[in-house]
Amino acid sequence: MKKIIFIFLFLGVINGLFAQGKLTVSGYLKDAKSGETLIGATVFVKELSTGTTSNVYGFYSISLEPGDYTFVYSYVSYTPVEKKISLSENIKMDIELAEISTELNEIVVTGEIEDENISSVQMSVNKLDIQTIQKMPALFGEVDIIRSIQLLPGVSTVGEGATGFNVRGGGVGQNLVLLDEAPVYNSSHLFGFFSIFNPDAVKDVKLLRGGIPAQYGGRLSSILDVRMKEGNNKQFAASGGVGAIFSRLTLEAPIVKDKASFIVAGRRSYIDVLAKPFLGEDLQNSAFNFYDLTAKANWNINENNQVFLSGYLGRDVFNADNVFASNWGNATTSFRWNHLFNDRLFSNITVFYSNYDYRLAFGEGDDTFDWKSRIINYSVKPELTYYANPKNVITFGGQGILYEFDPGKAEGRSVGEITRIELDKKYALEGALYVGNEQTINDWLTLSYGLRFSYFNYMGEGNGYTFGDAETTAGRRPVEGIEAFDQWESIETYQNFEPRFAFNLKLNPTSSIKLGYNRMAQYIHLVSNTVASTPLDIWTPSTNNIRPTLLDQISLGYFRNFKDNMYEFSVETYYKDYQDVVGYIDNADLLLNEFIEGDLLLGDGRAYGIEFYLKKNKGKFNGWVSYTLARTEERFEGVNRNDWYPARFDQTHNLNLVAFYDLTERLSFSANFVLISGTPATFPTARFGFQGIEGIPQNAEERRNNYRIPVYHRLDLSATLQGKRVKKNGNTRKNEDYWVFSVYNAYNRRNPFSINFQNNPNNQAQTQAVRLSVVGSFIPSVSYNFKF
Amino acid sequence: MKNIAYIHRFIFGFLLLWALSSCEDIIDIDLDAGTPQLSVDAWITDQPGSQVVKLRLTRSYFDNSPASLVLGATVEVEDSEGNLYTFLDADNDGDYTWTPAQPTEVLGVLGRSYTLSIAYNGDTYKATSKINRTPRIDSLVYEFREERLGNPAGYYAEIFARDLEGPGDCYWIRTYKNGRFLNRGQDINIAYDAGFSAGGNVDGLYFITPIREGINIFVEDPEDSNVILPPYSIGDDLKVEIYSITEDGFYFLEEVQTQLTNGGLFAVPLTNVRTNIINQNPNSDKKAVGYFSASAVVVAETVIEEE
Repeated sequence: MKKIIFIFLFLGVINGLFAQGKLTVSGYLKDAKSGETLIGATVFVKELSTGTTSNVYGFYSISLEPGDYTFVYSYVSYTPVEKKISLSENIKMDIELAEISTELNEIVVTGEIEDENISSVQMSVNKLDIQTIQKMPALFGEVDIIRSIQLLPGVSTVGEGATGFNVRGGGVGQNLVLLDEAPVYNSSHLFGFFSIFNPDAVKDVKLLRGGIPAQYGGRLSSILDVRMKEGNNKQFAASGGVGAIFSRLTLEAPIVKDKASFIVAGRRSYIDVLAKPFLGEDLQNSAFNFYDLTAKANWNINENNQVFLSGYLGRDVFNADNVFASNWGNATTSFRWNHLFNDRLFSNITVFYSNYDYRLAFGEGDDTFDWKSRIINYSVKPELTYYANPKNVITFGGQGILYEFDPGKAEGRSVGEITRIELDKKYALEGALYVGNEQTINDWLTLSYGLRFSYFNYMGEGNGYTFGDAETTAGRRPVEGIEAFDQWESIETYQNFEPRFAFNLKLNPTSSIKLGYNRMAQYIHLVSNTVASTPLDIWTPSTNNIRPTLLDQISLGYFRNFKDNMYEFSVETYYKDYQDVVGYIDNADLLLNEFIEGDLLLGDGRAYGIEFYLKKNKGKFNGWVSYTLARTEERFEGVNRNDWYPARFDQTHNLNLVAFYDLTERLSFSANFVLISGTPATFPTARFGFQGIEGIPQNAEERRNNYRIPVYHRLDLSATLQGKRVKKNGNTRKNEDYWVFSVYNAYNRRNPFSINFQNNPNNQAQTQAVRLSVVGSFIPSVSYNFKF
Repeated sequence: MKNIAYIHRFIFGFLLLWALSSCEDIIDIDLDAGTPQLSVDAWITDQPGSQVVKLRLTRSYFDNSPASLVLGATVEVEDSEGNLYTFLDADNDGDYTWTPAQPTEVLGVLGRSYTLSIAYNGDTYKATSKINRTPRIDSLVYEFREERLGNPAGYYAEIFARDLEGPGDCYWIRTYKNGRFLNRGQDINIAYDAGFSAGGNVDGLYFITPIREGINIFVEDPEDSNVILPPYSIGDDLKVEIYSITEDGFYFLEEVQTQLTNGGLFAVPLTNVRTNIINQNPNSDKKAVGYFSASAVVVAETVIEEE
């Protein structure tokens, strides 16, 4: 309570300090055709050479001395609007910008203002707009947000089929993936082949990997902030496509024109439907599909209040006859309320529910096994933004999350006798309070600073375990004591102050130096020791035995634009220092294990690297090159002879080339090329046998990750053919459509996903190394897309 | 958690079948040759007759020649009653053998603990084990099944035995087809009580289905790798042994199986399997691999005949 009073006092003080004698121009920036709010659009005051950008809800606010001003509202690929404003009282000014018609449009690689990369204080940010993503060659022709982001510096994957993504050497579980502010626990369909976001319903995608501001927390490596469209509030619109894997359909329409609208977007894979005629009788009852449904509605109650309700439901389903069933997926619901206290104080409160669960069942009749696991969380997240003056934008707020972990419930039947394995649920409460300010000191220096206080309470109802020492270092620790705790009773609490700081030093109008420092605390851990993360991995809270992981990251970058922003260049370097990274004992048992904490280790981690990025924004031929040189290492007592070793996600070199070429108005081509160093793996040095069982691998030197799998490289190509815009009678067609033809892995390389050591199946006395290539040939595809 | 590993592979196999062009191929890799280590294969039982402890050296991973023999070691087993059994390598083949003085003499006795000592190259290695109880085999049955879910038509067998009351009993179910021990990683069939793992809450039950049916092994047709042969055909001789093992022995076999069947998208990192052979010299950096186990054994045998 004290803290809340403090915040209000603080608010009063800054209000007094900054607000005297100033008047405010505020409002929303919107697309003229659909009424969608525009995120990150620019508001520029000519006379003062200063400005602001719209926030994630399209809202902007700027406070100035009374006087006459010329406001320029702009957004890339939209026609700018200029307004003369005579400021003698507070003004509400909602602006609609019209998209530049497609015939004239060149491909625009960025959705931001042209020199945003130079002027903004935010560094280490990856942004891609949907038009760019749609033009890139994609696996099976399916436009995919996460796979596209992996072509930007600092983001990668360990290969096709690996769930999620890795940022600056961090694990998959270190990314906070937000869909309309609700966290998504598994961002992939079909393991890692497709991401769960329907591109037709996505409005904005932003990935932060360094210099992370105070309003974000809870994960160490990155924040992927995905915002869904609100739905066209002017007229009915539909879009969709038919591809090799999915068919998609999105419908949007006003409920009350200009006041309320909705959007519903669905996708479903249909391999199983197509395959049915070719399957044997025993597989006729099989299901093999994945789908997602996104729905959202918003209501503009009055000029000071707007509410949004969004929901997501996605699922992967695999059933084989009646003997095997498995499915998993996320479900999220978030309710948001934007409220304007006054022209300068914007608030949003988000209430969300998020659920991730999976089920695995096999057997039939009297002999079955049925296993379920889930993680649920409920959260409230108020946030206020105070536009004190053109030089200070203060953001403050908090968040409370209640977690319910259900690590596993299994029911087995053996000859009709039922047995149950039920691991206790675990509960935890995570809270945070934060305040941050983005302060423009003068023309050449902008600061962003803030502080986040986070708190974690691992609590009952449940058991707290204590463990004794392992027989050998890095061995399994035996359970020594079990203590029962009541509901809400704390088993362990943690708290951390997480300072955040960044600056932008503008050297001249075309170059700047930026620095970012952030401390992050992560209280829940994704437990996985497989080569690729799996949908069956479980999340576990920090406990009395497992401390939260802390990260300090410092990034430094140089940003430079050339030739009137035609070229953008940046070089960024980072150093990350981890404390209490979670690792695993050898032969760890992570599934359905009540004493899982005894199989986990805490160690140190470090990651450092340098990222180069060069992008050509304009012209018929454009695209980018990114190259990252990096190292990620970890160290655990008793592992690898106590030495540092390269972590699973360590990739020394990572090169991406993305190119677009517009041949004619209707026909364009694109290509991307990826080259990544092989990831580390532990290989054996020796073998032995017993009782006729041969070829047991042995690593006599006890080194972990002592080898690397071979290098990964791949070229993808695609061509996009726009449908005719003009009918035979000369009228413009109302509908838009386009075809995308693509080839993934164009030169047919067998990229190794992993190397396994095994006995020759036909001769157990012989050993061999087997390369697994997830994509073993080139994959051509075609998709048809429409919009009307 | 081998059931889970199996499921991963199953799902993935499913995907490959329909969606992808994934592939596995054999490649050449240069590996460092590690320092050779003493490798111990010592599984003694309560069965009449001689008992053998095989000593070899580990060899580099891709070395497919027979393992180097360990000669000139001193091998002894002592039980908890103070009886000492000496194992001798009379014919210098690395197989150290204890031979009973009279045909009725048996080394292993239920409930006793055993300590193995090996003196080799100036170091002494020791390991201990205990002979635990085994369940009664109720029946070893078989039936003909039609083709289903990729499993070929043919004879399938099932072993029925009920885990003994009280948690913590561990067993190794060893299968012999026509006298040949099924020795692949995926053939290792082990039970913790009636199930796969501790805390499985399956004490005192019949072995769960995957264990009962774990004696059915599938191999590819040597003529055509796309054809899977049925586990058994008419005339096949099937013998099943249940070895009682210690809990540590269970984990050893589980780890061996994990390492030998590792692969696919969800492979786990390669790690050394455990050993209970401990060098008694704390100043020596030499470590042994392998395992010493003492087991009680029950056996069932049948010949597949037309129904």
